[in-house]
Amino acid sequence: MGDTLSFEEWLVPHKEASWLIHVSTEAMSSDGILPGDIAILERGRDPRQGDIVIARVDEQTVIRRYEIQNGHPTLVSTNPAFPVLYFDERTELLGVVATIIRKYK
Amino acid sequence: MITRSWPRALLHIDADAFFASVEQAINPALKGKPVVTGKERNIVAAASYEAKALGIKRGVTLWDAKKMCPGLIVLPTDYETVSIFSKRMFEIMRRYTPTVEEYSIDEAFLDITGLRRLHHASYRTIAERVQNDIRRELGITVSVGLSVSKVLTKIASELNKPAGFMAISMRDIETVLKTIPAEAVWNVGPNTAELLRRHGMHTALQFAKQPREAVARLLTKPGIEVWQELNGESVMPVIVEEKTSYQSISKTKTFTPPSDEKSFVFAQLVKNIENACIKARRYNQLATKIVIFLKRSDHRTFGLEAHIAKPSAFPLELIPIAKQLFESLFLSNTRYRATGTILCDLTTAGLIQPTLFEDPNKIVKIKSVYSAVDELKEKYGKHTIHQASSLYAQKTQHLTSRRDVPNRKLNLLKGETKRRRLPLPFLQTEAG
Repeated sequence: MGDTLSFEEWLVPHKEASWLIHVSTEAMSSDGILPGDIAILERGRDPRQGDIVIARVDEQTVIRRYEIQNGHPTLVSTNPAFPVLYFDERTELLGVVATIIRKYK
Repeated sequence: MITRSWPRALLHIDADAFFASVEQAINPALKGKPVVTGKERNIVAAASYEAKALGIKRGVTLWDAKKMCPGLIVLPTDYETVSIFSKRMFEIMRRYTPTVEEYSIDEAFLDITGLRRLHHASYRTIAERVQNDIRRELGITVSVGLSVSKVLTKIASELNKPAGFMAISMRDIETVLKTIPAEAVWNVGPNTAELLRRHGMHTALQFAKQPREAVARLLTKPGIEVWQELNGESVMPVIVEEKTSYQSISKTKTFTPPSDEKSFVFAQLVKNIENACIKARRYNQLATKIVIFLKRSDHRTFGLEAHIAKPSAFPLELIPIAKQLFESLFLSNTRYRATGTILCDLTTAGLIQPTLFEDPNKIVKIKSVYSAVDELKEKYGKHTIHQASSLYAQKTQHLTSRRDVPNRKLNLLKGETKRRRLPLPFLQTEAG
């Protein structure tokens, strides 16, 4: 028999680097992330193609999918109402989303 | 004479403007702006580097600070988030060495002697890795000093703030100490500094260059140790144990508005004593001395102390003593704004012999009452049960406006309570 994993270890695998943030956008609704959800993000980790990330762009905090398009890192939404955001030197990556929590009670 | 560059390799890591930096880390909109904390006390408890650049220092009243900088962002202290950051910072350090001394909430000493091969890195690189991990994962900066003794690491980390790194190897000691005033050396108090000055020692180097016999004539053991450390001889150990023994425990609380009502002020004091006792019992400590102090509305503080014949951490025993002190300290027609207590000369419980004149049954009774109190406290929160004399202080402890409460406590998640929250930092911005 293997050892058991606590819910906490499972949801927050890297505790020292994990943070919480409220989601307030429809931008990721096709990915199943809705306004009111809570994201657990990990800081200090480099994003990979397809990761959902939290970033700071033009004084705004956004949640998007990280994609390299034609060699440029971009932040994309699956909702066509939201334009593609291109990384520049002012873009700050706050973290990679590890877990989304929607708690009803 | 030791000639190697690194007979020992110690780090002193000091978080830059810690409390204010934590606020900037959880709220990206505050980055690059002058931010201070301490709103709940009306004084600047911590200032961000942007605020410091405008001349705002710790201890300045908020009123003065706002005059110096009309756009100043003033926040209440978020102790909970700050302590999460503190714990995480120490955890990150322990990735690199188990020998971490948590010197204060935002400072630590690390011993990394002999770890170059393990990490395949120079001492400098190890220090930079710790610094980078903290910056990347916590979003705050720390300054790091690398040297051969604790006293020298302290000097090194101070020299290059914020986000700095400075190394003092055996070979660099003289060059660096030439520029350091003796009184800026860690563990050299104002009196020692004055003594050194009178003997012609103004810089740390002049002190370090004295022959051992001259230093031994002038100073006692702690002073001689500083001299040894300045000369690169490490004599102060890096102490790893988590702090469970305290030399003293103090609790103080300001109330607004100030009050001249005796029973109210005494109730405040009793509540502080209860709090201090709770902490003492948690760490299995008993006090042999108690200090009480009252702070008047003009900010002048007056205190009295008493020896406790039978060391104790129980309000039932300490309050009668405090009451006597209070009676001689309290003046009518005087308004007070804060009370406080310090339990000192702590000893570990269990080592105490009852005195001849005590009723052993009473001791057992008091102990069992308080272990029941501590249990209730665990279940239902602090001050579920309290002395009747602190009743006045229980409800109206502070006329706190909502704006004085950290955001984290105002925006609870489903399932969180006022008392219990997830131990993760919450970004104070929404992902849009």
